[in-house]
Amino acid sequence: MKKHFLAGRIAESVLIVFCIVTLNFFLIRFMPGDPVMHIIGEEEYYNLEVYAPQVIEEIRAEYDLDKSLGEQYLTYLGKTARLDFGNSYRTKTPVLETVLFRMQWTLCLAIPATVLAALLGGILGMKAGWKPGGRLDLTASPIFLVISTIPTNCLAILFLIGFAFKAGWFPIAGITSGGLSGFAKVLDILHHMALPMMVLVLYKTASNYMLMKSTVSLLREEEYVATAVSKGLSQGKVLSRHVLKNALCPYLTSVCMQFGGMLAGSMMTEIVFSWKGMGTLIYNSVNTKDFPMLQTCFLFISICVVAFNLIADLLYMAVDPRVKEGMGHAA
Amino acid sequence: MLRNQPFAVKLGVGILAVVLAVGILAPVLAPHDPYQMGIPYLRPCADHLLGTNDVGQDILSELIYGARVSLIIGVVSALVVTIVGTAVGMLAGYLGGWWDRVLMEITAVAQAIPSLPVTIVLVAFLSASLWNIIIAICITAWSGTARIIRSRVLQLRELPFIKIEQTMGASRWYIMVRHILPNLWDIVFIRGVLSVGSAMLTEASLSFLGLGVIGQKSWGGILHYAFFRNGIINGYWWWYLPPIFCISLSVLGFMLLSYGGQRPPERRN
Amino acid sequence: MKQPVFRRLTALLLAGAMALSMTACSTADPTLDGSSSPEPSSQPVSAGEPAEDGKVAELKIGICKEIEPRSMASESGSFGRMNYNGFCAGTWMVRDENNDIQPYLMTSWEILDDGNTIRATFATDKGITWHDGVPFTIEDVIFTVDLMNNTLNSGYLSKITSAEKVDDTTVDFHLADRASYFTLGNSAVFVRVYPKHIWENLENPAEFSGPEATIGCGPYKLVSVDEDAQTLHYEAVDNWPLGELTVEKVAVRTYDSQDALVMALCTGEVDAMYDYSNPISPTMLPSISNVENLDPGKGMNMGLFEILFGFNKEPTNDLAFRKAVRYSLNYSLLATTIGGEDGQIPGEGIVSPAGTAYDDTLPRLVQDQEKAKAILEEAGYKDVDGDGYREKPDGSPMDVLVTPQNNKTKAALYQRIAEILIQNLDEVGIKCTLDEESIRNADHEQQLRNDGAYEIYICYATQGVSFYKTPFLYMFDNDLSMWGTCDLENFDAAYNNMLNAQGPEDYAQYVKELQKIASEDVVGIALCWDTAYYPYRTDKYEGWQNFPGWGVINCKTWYSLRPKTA
Repeated sequence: MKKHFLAGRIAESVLIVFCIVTLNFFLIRFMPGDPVMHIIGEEEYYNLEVYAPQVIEEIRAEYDLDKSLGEQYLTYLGKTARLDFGNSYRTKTPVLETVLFRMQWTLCLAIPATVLAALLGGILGMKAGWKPGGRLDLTASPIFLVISTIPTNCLAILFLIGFAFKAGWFPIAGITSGGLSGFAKVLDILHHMALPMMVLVLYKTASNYMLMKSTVSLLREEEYVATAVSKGLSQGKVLSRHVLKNALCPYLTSVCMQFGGMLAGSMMTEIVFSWKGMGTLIYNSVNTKDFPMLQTCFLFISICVVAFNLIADLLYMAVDPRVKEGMGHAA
Repeated sequence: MLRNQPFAVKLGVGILAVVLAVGILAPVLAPHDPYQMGIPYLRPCADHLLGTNDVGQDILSELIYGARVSLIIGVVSALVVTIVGTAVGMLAGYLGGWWDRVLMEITAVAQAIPSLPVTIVLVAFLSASLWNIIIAICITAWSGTARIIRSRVLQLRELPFIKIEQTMGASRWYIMVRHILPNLWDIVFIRGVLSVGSAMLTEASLSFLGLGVIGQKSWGGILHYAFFRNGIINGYWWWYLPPIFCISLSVLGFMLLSYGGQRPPERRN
Repeated sequence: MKQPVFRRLTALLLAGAMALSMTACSTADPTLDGSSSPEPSSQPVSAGEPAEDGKVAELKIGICKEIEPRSMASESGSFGRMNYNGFCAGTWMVRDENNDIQPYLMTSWEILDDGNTIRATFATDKGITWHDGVPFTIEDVIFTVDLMNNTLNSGYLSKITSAEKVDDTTVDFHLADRASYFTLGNSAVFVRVYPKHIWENLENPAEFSGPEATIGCGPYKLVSVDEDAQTLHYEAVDNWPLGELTVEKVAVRTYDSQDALVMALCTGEVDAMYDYSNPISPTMLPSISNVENLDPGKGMNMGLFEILFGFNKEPTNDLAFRKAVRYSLNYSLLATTIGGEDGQIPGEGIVSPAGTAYDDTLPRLVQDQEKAKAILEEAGYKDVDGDGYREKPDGSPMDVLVTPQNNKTKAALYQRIAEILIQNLDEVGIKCTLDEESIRNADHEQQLRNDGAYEIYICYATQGVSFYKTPFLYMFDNDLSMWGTCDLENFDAAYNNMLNAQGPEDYAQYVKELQKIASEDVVGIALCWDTAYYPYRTDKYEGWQNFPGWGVINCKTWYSLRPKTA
């Protein structure tokens, strides 16, 4: 049963990635204009059109754009399978290189933020949910509610102005100051990371807190918890024995999904703090119409989401054997 | 009806009523024509309570008119998202079988696509009209609603009264519309109201990046100019704080309203 | 039973996440540093600490141009832009604070043969070497002319038809059209020397991106590129013969926006800014005016915002229409929006008071919408169908396209200027449409320009262009400029005469003539005369020289900056 489910989920994930690769293919084909233009860039295209129209035809042939849509699609799949994503037409260098470089910096920011927010949100949420109307609930809940209503870029700007510009506690922009190496560089990176990470942690903590709080406060109403309390078990024991294990399941799933979304999730924060990650890369690529770059970014982001969804399901399954195929999607 | 609701919901309704009234009565309330240019970079004064922007337009009037665009984008997007999401979730959940497989596969794909980047790409490459922005916001946002609706429908489908209807030979469509849908109302309401908030936040991000409708006054757009025309670095708080406040307040209004959809906790005897 | 599973899982998940995060951070090592690291990245230098002999240990400069390690040789990146300061690549000539051309690697020159020959000497006998150790010779100079004209298709030296070696330090440049004076003025600051031994055997020099692309023979060599930090690191070369270098190391750091750069200046992250032709927006002045130890670096600005008219299009090819436009605009609003508190209403002659041969007898611009309407009426632009907008004299509908230049860092300002124009023209009954496609799509905008298909075009005449080629370059319809559409014969003749001027007086006379033509024939309209601010810090160093419109980072910085003696 479990094996069957597992195989099914993996197959499904592969299918989803395949669908996204296909969408990527059509993204270029159905944008207005000659597809060659989107592959080599408009500037280059107009240039060639005047000086060397035969090159345009060569490129057309290279990408099989003179063939039927089906054949083109097969070529495209072949290239993608070989991890050949083409060259960025802004820098003329392989897209993969740039995307991997940017990805490591986004991960560097997003992974610690997600972990930290998972712990903070979980612990605070549990405490607040266990004692609704308590001091923690009354102070933390409105704060987190308000945070989640502020657009990310606004909070990021306010932090930038307040803590970096006015107070001068943190650097203004970028990842590191340059000219450093070894431990000094690591410290410098941490210093640069502090503000953007703080913003990410706040938002993620806010949503984690609310999820955990509502789960725990619902559980508290459940009969067996009430029974346990009435049986005279200490609050701490009830919390850890009964509530924790039941609340952790949906919570972990949700955290897992946050990991899935982390590649694209810090976009606005990255832009405000000039953090050279995936978010700024996508934003700049939109501005320069760098389609190969965008395609590759989208592919990686999607794979990340799909992979962590799969992991979330596996977690769910490992924890709760009652899971049935119909419940497959642990959303 | 409102009387039985918790204070949070009343507060939400109050906030939204004010914002809505401001949007509708904009021409009456605004002290100036928001497009009328005057003396740029004025500080708050009697004539311009929130000063003027970089081309001398009255910031307060911009804010008042901005409520319209922000609300329209938020509400229309949320309607589309909720309708599509509910339809997909209901069809998948109730009809099951191939319907379920195909629809859920599409939903999974939509969920795997990064929403803000895709929205930005679409807005940047389609021309940025109000409708294109709404389409771009909606294109992936419906998937969450679809999933939740589907899992609720799966539960509802097993309930006795639905089973009875089925054995009595009622058509699937009849059951869906007459019995399933009314029982989804609370979720649909919560999801819908929350999507207004998230659509408004997305719009704020888009406009901030300069991808909003050019020349139209929205809160995100005011912020865009405050940032890119040196209002923020110069510390003109009267320019950049009010739009942030307006966005947050409206989103808060919708979030509080969503509590109204939650069923009161069932009392045990 | 379930609980241990849970704990284990949680622990595993967290451990995994942390491990991932560690690897993510640690893989971000400077190994990707890239293109040129003859030596591994240098030891951290404590900023501003005076070196032993009263030299600046490391000067930190902020810039708003991208660092792209894979296309360093490009003139538009931060490496290329820094070279305008007689810096790394090795510049022929430089300009001083009065914009006068001064010798550099090209140590002297004389114009012979009625302007058809420049005889120039180069510092090839002073022991200068390329940064890889190969000596700099006159062959490199001759090679440079060939490379720029025939392979790189760069316009600076295009009037040079051949270069002939006279002896080991002297070369004769033969020119077409007596263009000696023009070529000197046009190429000063910009033209560098290319090392023959590196560039001569390249298959495609235009796309050369190897680490050797950054090798020059200037006073500073590039020692490392830190892509993580977006910084370039330079060191002074040993025994530089053309003067004593007082700055030992230079770090150039890229910022995504001028806002970030200005904030970094305020907090002391960098010591000064350099951004060729991009002084900080004067509207940003309030943010720096009261900051301790920060000098706003005020200077006159030759660069200016202007509008061009499409002479290939109706109605912008009609003098009456252009005159009416000139009477319609709200110049005081434009001046404040663009130039902040000290923005000035420009004159009809376009050239700013900072520019060479500025004609102060021409009137300043005035807004007089009644007069604009009268001119339009008289020329036949009447509202025939009663929709509130005027039609063309032949009765066909008129809708004028307003295209702002596509510029990422100043997009908001360009849009604001367009908004003002459209509203002002609306007030006199001219219907205008904002060219949104060009705002979103740089290629579309460029195409429109190349085709000369714009109607009203908002652009910026850069400081560098205004030095010699004047803001009129953008209207000039010739391959020198990719923008111009002006087909007026007197304008064309005057501009060509100016290009072929044989000396400063000659040049000044034609610049004055061009201003007069601009005043009479409205070939374009200046929108604001503003001030250039290039702020710099005064707490650590002294000896800054603020070149008007250029800033304190210039060709003299390397020889004059000293740590502050307190």
